[in-house]
Amino acid sequence: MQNGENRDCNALIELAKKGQKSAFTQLVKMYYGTVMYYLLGMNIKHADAEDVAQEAFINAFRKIDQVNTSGSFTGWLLRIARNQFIDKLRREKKLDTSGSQFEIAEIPDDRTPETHAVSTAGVESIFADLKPRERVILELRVFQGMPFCELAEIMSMTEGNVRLVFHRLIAKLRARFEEKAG
Amino acid sequence: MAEKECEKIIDQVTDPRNLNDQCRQHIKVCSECAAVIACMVWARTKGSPTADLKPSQAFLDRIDQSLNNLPTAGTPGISGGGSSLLTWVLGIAVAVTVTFGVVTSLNHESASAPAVSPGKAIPAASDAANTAIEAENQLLDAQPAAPTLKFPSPADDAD
Repeated sequence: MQNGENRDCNALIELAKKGQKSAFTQLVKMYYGTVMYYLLGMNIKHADAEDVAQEAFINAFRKIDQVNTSGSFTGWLLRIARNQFIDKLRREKKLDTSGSQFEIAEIPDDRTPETHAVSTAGVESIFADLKPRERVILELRVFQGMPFCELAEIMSMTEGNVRLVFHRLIAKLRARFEEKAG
Repeated sequence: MAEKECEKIIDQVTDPRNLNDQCRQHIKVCSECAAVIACMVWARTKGSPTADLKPSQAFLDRIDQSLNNLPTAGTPGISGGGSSLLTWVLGIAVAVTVTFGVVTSLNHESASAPAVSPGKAIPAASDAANTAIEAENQLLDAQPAAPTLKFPSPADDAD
């Protein structure tokens, strides 16, 4: 997210803290895509991702007082979405909580037909065939300048893995860029 | 410059806060890094990679509905419906206390008052007290009598 957008975001957060629901709705519109791609990257169906996203946004509104505008709002929001997703898995007893810490990275990264359909919807887009997880990493790193350590924590990956994915992503984009330019 | 160092430069460049003079100098001389930077600038002009997913109106309506159902004050449950329930409970408690007090005082009054001879007109104020006494007596009558000894008293054998 660019600096101007960041300022807008902070202003909206402050208004939402004062109880302005319309300001929070604007935040929902701004961050819907990031939250959805983040959840789709966990290999869940689009409808389920929407349910989790809805719960996450409602929870975020409840806890909006806890947001520190000097920190990353996106990181905070995605952590809520991740916890909401884990709660959903626990409710549906799809998660074995008896073992060690839950690793989202362990979920297979095969794209479902839904995510594939979403990804290929905009053929013109240079991001068209990127995986949901790649989109989120690109968004958080290139557009929001999130440090790799925080990115790794949010994506439940090691910092080294995030860097690796990011550099592969850059190489992929570069090939596309040269193809378009040439 | 080695590839690893280029990666470090690219890592720094993606966060503009880290862009220092050393990075700028390197980008000027390294065509690889310059190409990557150009690519990222181009990607930025295309907009966010997550912006193509927009919330549906139904989704926004559901969010609005849920937000409207949330309490605006920081004390959920006690405001609104909770306070009216508390008022009801307090009201009933006060009413019970007052009634009990009145009945008790009337009982005391009737106990200290002289016996009313039959056929004499009873004042209206003591009607309620009499009714209460009658009810109390009926309750006492309904209770079983005091237990009687089923074995002979030691005093019986004394003679």
